Amino acid sequence: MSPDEILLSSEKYIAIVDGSGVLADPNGINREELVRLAKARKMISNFDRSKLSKDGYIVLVDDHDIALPSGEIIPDGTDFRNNAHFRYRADLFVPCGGRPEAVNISNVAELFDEDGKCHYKYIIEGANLFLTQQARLYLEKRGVVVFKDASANKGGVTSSSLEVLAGLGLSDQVRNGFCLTTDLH
Amino acid sequence: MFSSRRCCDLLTCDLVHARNRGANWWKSFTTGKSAQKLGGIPHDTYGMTSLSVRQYVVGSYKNLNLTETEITKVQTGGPDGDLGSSQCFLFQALSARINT
Repeated sequence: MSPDEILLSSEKYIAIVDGSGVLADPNGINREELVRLAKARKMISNFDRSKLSKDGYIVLVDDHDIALPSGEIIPDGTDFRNNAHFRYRADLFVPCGGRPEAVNISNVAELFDEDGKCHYKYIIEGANLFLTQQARLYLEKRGVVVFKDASANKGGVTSSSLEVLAGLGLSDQVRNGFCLTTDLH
Repeated sequence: MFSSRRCCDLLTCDLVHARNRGANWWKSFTTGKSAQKLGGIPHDTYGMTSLSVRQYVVGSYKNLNLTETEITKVQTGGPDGDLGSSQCFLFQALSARINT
C-alpha cells in the first residue's frame, strides 16, 4: 500500500520511515526520485543522496554515530528509526507500516510540543494498530483529526469479505466460472 | 484470513492441500492472492486497500478545503512494500533487539 500512497499523491514529503531507515528533507523529498523507488519497490536506502537538499539526510538502521546536517549526532540508527515519527512536524501523518502500538498512551504526549500543539494536524492510519485506541482518543481530544485503521483501510477487507462469501456460497464449478482471473499481466 | 505479499506462497500451498483433501471450505480460507490459480479478486492488481486509504486522505482535503500540493506529509512504510513491508519492519526491529 505504501508505494501506491506515494504514486497517487502530490503532497510535499517531509519524511519517510521504512525497514531500512529514515529519509527526511525539510525542504521536501525529491519527488522524481521517490517515484522511481516506488515503481521499483525499493527501500529508502536506495535513494540517491545527490537528490537531497542541503538540509536533507538519510539515516539507515545500521548507522552509528552519524551527524545530521544540523550537527546533531545520532548514536544509533535503529533507535532513531523506531522513534522517527515523534520527531517530525507536518500537516499529515500516514502510517502505512511499522510496529503495532508504536504510539500508545505512555508516549503519545511526545507528539505534542511545549505549547500543547500536535506535530500533525491529520492522521490517517493506513497500517493496522499503529496507534492504540487510548492514543487516538488522546489525540482527538486535542483537536487532531484521526481516521482509524479499520476505517481507512476497509477497501481490502470489504473485498475479502465478498470473496469469502463467494467461496462459502458457491460450488467449485460455479465459482471457478465467475471468480477465476486468467488474463492478468 | 487476509494474507500479505511475503507469505502468500505458503497460504496458496495450504489451500491446494485442503482442496486436494476434499475440504469444501478451501475457497474461503484466504483471499486476495494467487487469483490466477485459486480465484478471487487480485488485490495487488486493483489495490483496494491503498485506494481506500487514499480516499480518506483525499476526502479529508476536500472536507477541510485543503490544497494537496501545499500539504506537508510524513509516512511510515517505505516505497518498497505494501502491508507486508510492515511485517518486515516489525521483523527487523525485533531481530535488531535480539542481536544487541
